[in-house]
Amino acid sequence: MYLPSRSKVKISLLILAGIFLLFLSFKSFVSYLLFFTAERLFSPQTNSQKTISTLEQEMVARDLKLAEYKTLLEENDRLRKALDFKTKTSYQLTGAEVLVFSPSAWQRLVVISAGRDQGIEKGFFAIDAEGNLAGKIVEVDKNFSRLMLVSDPDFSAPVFIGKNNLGLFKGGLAGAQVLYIEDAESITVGDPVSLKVSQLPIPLEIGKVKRLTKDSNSLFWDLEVELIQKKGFFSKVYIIK
Amino acid sequence: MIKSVFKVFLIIFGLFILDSVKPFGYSLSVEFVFLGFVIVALTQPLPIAFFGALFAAYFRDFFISSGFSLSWLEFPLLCVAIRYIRLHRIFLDRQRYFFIARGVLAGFCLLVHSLVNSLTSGLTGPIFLLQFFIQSLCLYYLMDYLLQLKAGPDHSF
Repeated sequence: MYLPSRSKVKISLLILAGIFLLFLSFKSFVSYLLFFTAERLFSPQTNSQKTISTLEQEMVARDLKLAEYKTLLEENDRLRKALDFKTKTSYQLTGAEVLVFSPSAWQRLVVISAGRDQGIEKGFFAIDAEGNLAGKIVEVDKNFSRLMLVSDPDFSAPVFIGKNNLGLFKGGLAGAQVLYIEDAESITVGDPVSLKVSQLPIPLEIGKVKRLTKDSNSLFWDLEVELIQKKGFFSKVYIIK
Repeated sequence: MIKSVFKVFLIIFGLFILDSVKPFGYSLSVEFVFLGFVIVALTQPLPIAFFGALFAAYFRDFFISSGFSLSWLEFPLLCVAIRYIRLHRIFLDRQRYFFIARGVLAGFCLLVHSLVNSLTSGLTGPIFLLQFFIQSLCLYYLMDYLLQLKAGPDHSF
């Protein structure tokens, strides 16, 4: 008995099964497509919204870290009291935008958007967003300051190398150096080079010893330093007050 | 004349903005202002080129408020040196060598500039100097092509 309508149903079922199988194999893709469309339709995210959500996430993570530090600070205070430590340093950070760069290729000088009115003074050190040393304030105006970057040839500051060696850190376009090391016996390649900022309770690590050299006519050793902060390019800096 | 000087000022100012913003960060060791001055000095008559040198010297050390800048001396002297070489037609016997000759003169300017700055800021490593020279020369040709400043007559004092 021939029933054309039944064969039609069978063929339709087969086609549907085929489509279903096809969709089953591309399930993740289809679901992604669906979510994507829904997201676009119901919650349109602009760039600023994305930034806000990222910042919120970061804030939560920082809150957790802050709580951890708070506990450590309390513990530190208790220990300090127990040991009768008298000195305690405190510091403040002032954020500033980098406005312009010096046009000279032989200088690493930037103008930042914080000055005397924001409590900035000559000689203050600045760090970047990652907490690495960015440079030193060399000139202060009412609302602007000039920041000499660590890689500037004129940048210099006394530093510690390793545990108890002192030297003079000097920036350079081709590479930073530590000069005037009398005795380099206790210094090895890879030792940390850190700067003691008076406002900070801990020394700020700026790099590691890359190479030790000594001229036969010179009394002092020279160290080549590999800076932690390599990019030398910022959009925002934080001045330690 | 005033129109040409104004045009030169605008070029130098535009390059100064580029230098101040540093779109490629410190990975590009060039001075756009200096390159602009070189192009102006190689193409324009001496009075206009002299103005270009003064503008460039002014902008190059724009953010340094204290101390004497050597650029005020270096740029006008380079300008006169370029004019002297051009007047004596050392490189310009044949028009078809003009493109190369200008490159040689630009290279000479870059060498003098590197030397002066290396001496004033202490010794700088050869890698930086080589990087500065090569990048600047490449950019000089690019800027020369883009700016398309017409070369003025040699005897235009």
